[in-house]
Amino acid sequence: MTALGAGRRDPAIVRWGLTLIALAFLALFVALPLAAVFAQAFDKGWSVYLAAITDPEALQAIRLTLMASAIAVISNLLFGIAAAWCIGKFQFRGKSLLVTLIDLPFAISPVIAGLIFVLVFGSHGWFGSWLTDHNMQVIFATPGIILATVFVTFPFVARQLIPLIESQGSEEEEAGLALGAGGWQTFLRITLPNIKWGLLYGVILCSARAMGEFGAVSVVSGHIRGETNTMPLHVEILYNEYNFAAAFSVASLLAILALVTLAAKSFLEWKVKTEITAHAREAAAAGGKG
Amino acid sequence: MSIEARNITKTFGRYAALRDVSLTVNEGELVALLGPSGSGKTTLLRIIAGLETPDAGTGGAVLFDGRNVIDDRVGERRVGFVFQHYALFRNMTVFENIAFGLRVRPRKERLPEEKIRERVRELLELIQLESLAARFPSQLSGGQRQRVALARALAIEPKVLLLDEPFGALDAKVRQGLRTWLRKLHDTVHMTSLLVTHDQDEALEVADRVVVMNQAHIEQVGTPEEVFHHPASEFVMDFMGAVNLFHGRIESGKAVFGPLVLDHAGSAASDGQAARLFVRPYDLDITHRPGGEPGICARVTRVQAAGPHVRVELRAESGEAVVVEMPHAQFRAARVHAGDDVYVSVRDARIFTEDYSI
Repeated sequence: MTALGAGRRDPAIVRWGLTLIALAFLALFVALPLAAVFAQAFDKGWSVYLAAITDPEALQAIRLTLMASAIAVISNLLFGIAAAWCIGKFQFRGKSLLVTLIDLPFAISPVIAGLIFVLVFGSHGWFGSWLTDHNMQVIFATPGIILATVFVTFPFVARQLIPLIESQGSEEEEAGLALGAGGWQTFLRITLPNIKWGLLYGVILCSARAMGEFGAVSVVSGHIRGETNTMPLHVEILYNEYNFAAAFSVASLLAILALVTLAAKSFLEWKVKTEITAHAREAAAAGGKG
Repeated sequence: MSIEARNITKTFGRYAALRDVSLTVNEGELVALLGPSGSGKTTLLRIIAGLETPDAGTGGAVLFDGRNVIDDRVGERRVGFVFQHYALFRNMTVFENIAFGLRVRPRKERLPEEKIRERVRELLELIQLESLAARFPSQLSGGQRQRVALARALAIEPKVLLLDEPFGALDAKVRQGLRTWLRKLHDTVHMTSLLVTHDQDEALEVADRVVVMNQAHIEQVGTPEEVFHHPASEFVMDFMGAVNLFHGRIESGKAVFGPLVLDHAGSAASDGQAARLFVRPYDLDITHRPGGEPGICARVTRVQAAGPHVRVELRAESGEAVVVEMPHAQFRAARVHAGDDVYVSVRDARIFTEDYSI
């Protein structure tokens, strides 16, 4: 603020005008809809709200969403660390191709992602007959939903870690190895602590996206009530049936999950920032003593 | 323990970092690998440590006390490696950094906790940072960090100490202090040490022997005196400090550089061959009148009297820029001012012809 303000000051009308426009946008597009979700959810009172979210089909949707998210987060966590490690620490042929492939789910529409899985695993797909022969179902079943969720949230952890690991270089790991540590010891004692905040951040983003995923999951789910519905799909079904109170009740749960993730993300950002500034301050103090 | 690197070749893609380099470091010696960036010195150090491997099929070997360790992993070689940018573990305190090498040992070989603490405390005392044991690396100054890195390397009681530009990232004053400290440390522990540096002053001051490297090969190996006073090549001469360069040719056993005629007898150089004369700035004298010595006519362009020596910049009649350095007393006696026309005579110089020098 001071850096900008010290040189010159814009006229009051510009300053207030810009602030007001920003606030108005925020109110219109974020705060108001969010408030509307909760208003609609509680429109018919607590009992209707509770009934909507304790309905067996709603509970199944919540369970499925949480399970799919948990599996997606865990698998992408493992994959993300492995990929970021490879990309950040080693030079190899095809590295940029790998990075591009990791970004693919960002670029592809989730609906297409869903269709890809139908093509591959559906009853008329490549592995369809083999899967039927072995009595396994992927599409219109839980595995399909998990696959779609994993695909869509694929880049989050890896994308978060790659620049972090690249910027840290591999000198610390080399030092660890030179001191006689094994590969696992080096990873657990040196690499992992150095990337923990970035990792957590990636996990939060990944889980937020996993819980809210609609498009890809919608294609592979088949919308079987009480079986393959996730929370966003359940909301859609209720809404299409003009059951607004119930739809918004479940939607409010999703909104709460989103707000919790947001809070966790903000807390994390604040924590990392304070840690960095504290270190910088102490480093500056120590630097003077030479 | 002695170190021997034998026929080391290393290429990165199309770039040759080392071309068939061999080197021996005797037991208890401190050797400096000196060269400009890109000369391959750090690659050689990393290959000796086991952080890099020589090109496959080139027959390169690294011997510790005569035993080939080329197939041993870095952790098995028991080397103390000190990185240019310290590479301290940022998530650990100074104490834990130093203890790391002792803590990661397999359970059977690991010292009991009490012994580990004792050893770390000894090392903290050695580097005089006892009071900072609980600090994190980010809370230390550069010089302190590098001392911690050294203590961490020494904790595993390595058989050799390898230092990769250990003081390169520090400012001049801290560097000077650490240099002296490192030499003292070496004199007390007598560990075979190999130090990579691009700073010739550092190499000359600290090392028992200096290995000058250039473009993936070794130019010269010798004591600091040998390398400084008897450079084996133009590159070494040039790298060891500022020089003035004059171009001339060989004529009937003499090297002729304009009015300067220097004896060049006993060399294999033939008449008419191009010769280059290298003179250190402090091996030149300035007089107002041509004395007994043959001299080059030159005009003083600039006098710089701040510093331990006076630096006089001149332009020779033939157009070459010449730099002369002299003590203040001599400068006052010579009464040289900018714009004066003077004679520059040569006290000591080295003549290099195409591929032969005396």
